[in-house]
Amino acid sequence: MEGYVPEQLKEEQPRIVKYNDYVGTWGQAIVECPFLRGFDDTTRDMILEEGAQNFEQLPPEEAMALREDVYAKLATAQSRTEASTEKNDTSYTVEEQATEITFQTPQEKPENDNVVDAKTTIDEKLILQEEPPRSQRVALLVEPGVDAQEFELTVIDDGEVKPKADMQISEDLARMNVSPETKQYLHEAAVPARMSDEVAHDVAAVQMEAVDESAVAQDTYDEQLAPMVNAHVVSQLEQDTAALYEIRQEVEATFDLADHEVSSNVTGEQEAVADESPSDVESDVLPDSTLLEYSAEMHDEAVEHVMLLVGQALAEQDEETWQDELPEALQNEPAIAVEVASIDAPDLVLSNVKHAILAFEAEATPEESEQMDMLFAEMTQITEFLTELQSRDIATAAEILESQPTNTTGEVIEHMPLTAITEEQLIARLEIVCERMLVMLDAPHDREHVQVMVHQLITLVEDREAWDKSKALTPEELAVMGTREYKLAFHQQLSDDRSTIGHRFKQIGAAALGVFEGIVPHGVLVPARS
Amino acid sequence: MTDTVKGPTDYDELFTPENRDAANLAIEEKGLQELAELSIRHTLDYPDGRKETFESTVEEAFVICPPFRSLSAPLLHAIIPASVEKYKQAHPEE
Repeated sequence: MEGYVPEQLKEEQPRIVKYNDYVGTWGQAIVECPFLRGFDDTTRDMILEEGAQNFEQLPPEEAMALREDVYAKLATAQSRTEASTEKNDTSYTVEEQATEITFQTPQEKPENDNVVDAKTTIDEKLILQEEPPRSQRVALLVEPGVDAQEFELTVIDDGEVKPKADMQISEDLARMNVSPETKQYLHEAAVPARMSDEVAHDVAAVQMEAVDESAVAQDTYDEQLAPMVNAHVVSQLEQDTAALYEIRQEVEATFDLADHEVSSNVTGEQEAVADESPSDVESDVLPDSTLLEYSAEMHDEAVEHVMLLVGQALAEQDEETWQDELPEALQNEPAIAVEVASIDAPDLVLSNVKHAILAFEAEATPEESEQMDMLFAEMTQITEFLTELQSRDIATAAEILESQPTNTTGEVIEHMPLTAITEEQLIARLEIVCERMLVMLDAPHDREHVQVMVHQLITLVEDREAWDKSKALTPEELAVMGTREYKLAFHQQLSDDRSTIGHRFKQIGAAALGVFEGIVPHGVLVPARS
Repeated sequence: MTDTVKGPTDYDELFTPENRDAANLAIEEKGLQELAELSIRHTLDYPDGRKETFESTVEEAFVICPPFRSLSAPLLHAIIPASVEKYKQAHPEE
């Protein structure tokens, strides 16, 4: 999905023109290029059209990079405009900056102190000017209830605009004691779950047009951001539906391959749907009007419900689930979402983690498996420490810690005075480990998910009876609890389970997870406005 | 705001060997040799209100104003006559 730009968004993106080293939007070029403004409108449009074609003929990677530069310049210009407004200093306006980017005569420079000579490029000139604010918040643009961090953008030193969450991921990864390849993998796994670059830049572009943040929150959202994000969501959901349709076909094909009898209660309507192309099914199943009313909460709940069904089918190899309930759920997500609204949230999170583990185990490379093993080992170690801390005094706990080998990825435990370690610190460390696991599993890993996962682990620690009882739980549940031996046993079971149906289910489950966790960026969904 | 008219000598600093070579290369690549010696008049319209008109040959314009070099030959063939006409209107005696 990376790099994907929905048609709706393409139409809303400004065209970009390129001449020699100059790159800018169509509108920017008109403002910034005195050369262009010397022509009549018709001629100017012809020149701009050629500039746009120059840009559109670039290789996609180069075009994407240049587009990011343009957005970054827009952001820089906007921040200067805002800074200028705040200082009541009229020397900084977007229009006056424009004089800087084409040539100036050496003999007669304008009075503007910021003007440089003809050979100074745009970038060089921008660097000469004052630094923009380090961070630009666009959270106010977003519907209440949506995680603001997902929409916080940061301008880094080279002028590039990136979601702050991405930078946080980079910083976290930089501190991890793992190979560069693993860091790259973790970053790639984590970033798509945040906001896609296209949406981030579109949000930034919208912000460029506003000066007053309070006005942005109301007007800009209504007029520009909401339709933009909704269009993105609609497009994503349409793709989800198409992908799920393919998965359903795989499910049915699997049963056919295994000589299972096709359920006799498939209705004529279902048969008709099965004969249609995915695109036909999309329009039949999820008309746009429905999608626009489709809230993020309902979607998440529907996803969780489907995940539960996938999990049930995986665990029980239940024909009825695969043939009837799951396809029906995929076709009627909004309706089913209402029915499952009462499902307990922690269960949903754990269910999600369980199936993320399934997908991970099915596709992980040996290196990735090793990294996950390290996380599991550390999680086990910490939960064991917690258990001991609750049953013995702190001095004894310190002895236990001293007796332990260096933890696998530890950054906190091994560098802290052992006697200073408290339960709170261990829990904080546990949160870090859990978050990393969720990131690696490409599962939702916001604070709520992490806390639910930690809470489940703490509950088990506090309740020794439950801890003991856990030994009777299913392998999937035990894997979530983070005990290495159980996790390995679970892994072994998966490895051994190479029967036709079971092995295929594992692959299909991974595909379904890819649909839900990879394609729909968590946090991008915005509830439809009433 | 000022509206100055300038000739190539006002842009002496831009007539570097590099700029000259780049201009000549562009003229050659685009097959504009026949137009190179024509005089044109083009106005730079700055957003702050200043206007700066330069009068030069096409070849000199390619030195003074790098964006000209990046336009395609068909487009240049389409727009240069209008600039030539502007020059003629400004200098009817020639």
